[in-house]
Amino acid sequence: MQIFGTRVPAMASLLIWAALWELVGRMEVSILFPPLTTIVGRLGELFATESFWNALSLTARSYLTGTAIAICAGVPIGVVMGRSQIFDRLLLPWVNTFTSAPLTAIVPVIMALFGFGETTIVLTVVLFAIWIIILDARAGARSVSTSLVEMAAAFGATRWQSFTKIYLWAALPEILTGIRLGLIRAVKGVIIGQLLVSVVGFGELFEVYSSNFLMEHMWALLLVLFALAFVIDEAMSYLERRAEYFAASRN
Amino acid sequence: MATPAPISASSPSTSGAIVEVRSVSKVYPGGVEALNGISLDFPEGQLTSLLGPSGCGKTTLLKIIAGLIPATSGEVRIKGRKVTGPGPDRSFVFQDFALMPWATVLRNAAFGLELRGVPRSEREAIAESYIAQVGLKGFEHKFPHELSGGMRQRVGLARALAVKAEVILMDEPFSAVDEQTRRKFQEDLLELIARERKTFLFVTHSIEEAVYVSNRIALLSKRPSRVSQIIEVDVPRNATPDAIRRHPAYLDTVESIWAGLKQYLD
Repeated sequence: MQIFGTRVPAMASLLIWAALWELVGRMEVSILFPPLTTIVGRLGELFATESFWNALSLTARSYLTGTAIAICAGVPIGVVMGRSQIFDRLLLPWVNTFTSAPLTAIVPVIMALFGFGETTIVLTVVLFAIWIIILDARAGARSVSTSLVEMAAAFGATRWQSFTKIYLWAALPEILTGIRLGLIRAVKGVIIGQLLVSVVGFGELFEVYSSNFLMEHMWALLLVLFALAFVIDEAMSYLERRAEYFAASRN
Repeated sequence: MATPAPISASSPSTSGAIVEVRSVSKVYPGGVEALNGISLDFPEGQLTSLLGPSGCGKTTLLKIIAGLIPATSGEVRIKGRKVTGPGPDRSFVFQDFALMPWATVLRNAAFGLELRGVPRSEREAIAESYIAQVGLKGFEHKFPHELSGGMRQRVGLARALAVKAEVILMDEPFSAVDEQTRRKFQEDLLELIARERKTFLFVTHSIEEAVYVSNRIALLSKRPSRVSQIIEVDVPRNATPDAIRRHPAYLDTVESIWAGLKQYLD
């Protein structure tokens, strides 16, 4: 972007908002908005506590397990749905419902079934991530060109070979988009799960901070979580761009 | 000279026919009748073209022979054995190349062998020799999007040859290739045919192309298609490409086919 002939870096607008936040904080408009500098100061404090690292490792563990399950189950389910009308008819209404449903409302059900532990958090992550992964993998599998499918058949591919050597690869760009969106939703899942369970991980920390009005700590924690989500998103976009070269040339 | 001969309704299976099509009909769901009782023999070791107006069901017939789509009635036999699906005795060259964009030229050309479980080094050696034969030596590790349309189809041809099928089915292989490339490709194809001694079935809507590359041309009528004429092409194959294209037999055959096809254009 150019302003008055000078090149301005893409992230420069963040500085303006950061300055505004600082200003509002210093004016002491509300106890809810402490100045940004003090929040950043709290970051260091936060990193020094053992409970933060415990929460982080629990979060990372449930996040990774949950997304791994969502990807390993979601991609094959989506591809099969994209290639088989029977499965598609059977599952699509559910997938569509869950993709748009307010999933937070279902978390208490999982909680009732699996207790207040890590299992519930992992399942919440799966619940948040899997539907968009299925939908995108399905869209990718449907867009596989007919001639590639015929080519595999003409050269004697078995069903399994068609699946692993053609459909998965031809649908890869859509699958990666789905995984990226799924990973973002999974961040919501892992936080919301912990907030609702609220006796483990970051949920516990949020509970402690908010009930004691430690707004600076809470904001610091939020900043960390936002940064994590941003990094995951960027990493996935990078992978997606790498896969794009053949997405453009596949038809 | 061209010798157009009317076909008998039920031509007996000649000993030289490797592919026999027996009263094949195809009605697509929705009622579109693509083929209506076609019977046709394809002699071994020759290139037979299926020529006809656009949308006349040429490709449908080729895909039925390939076993990619089922016939509504009638049957296809390869060396006397009834076709129930794709088989190792046939391979296919696709109109839009059908290359895997994520795989190199080498892997694409070896793909038929990969599906059959041929060990990597062995299948790559075979594919490399066919890549060289179709004139793509040095491009083994390129990806399809780095090649021109003509070169991509050469990969498709190498893939079809690498599986060593006896019958090679080609569905308008040059229609997505520009004119200059097409001519060169047709010339190379003739050389390849002379070397490979296989049976080729070739679908095209170009009269010139059919006459240039074929030993025999089956002229199909408009949908629902039937065989309206079989033409034995008697053009000297050992002449240079230019000489062939100027040869009276070549020009006469093109002319007589055009005269025959004109009636369907109304």
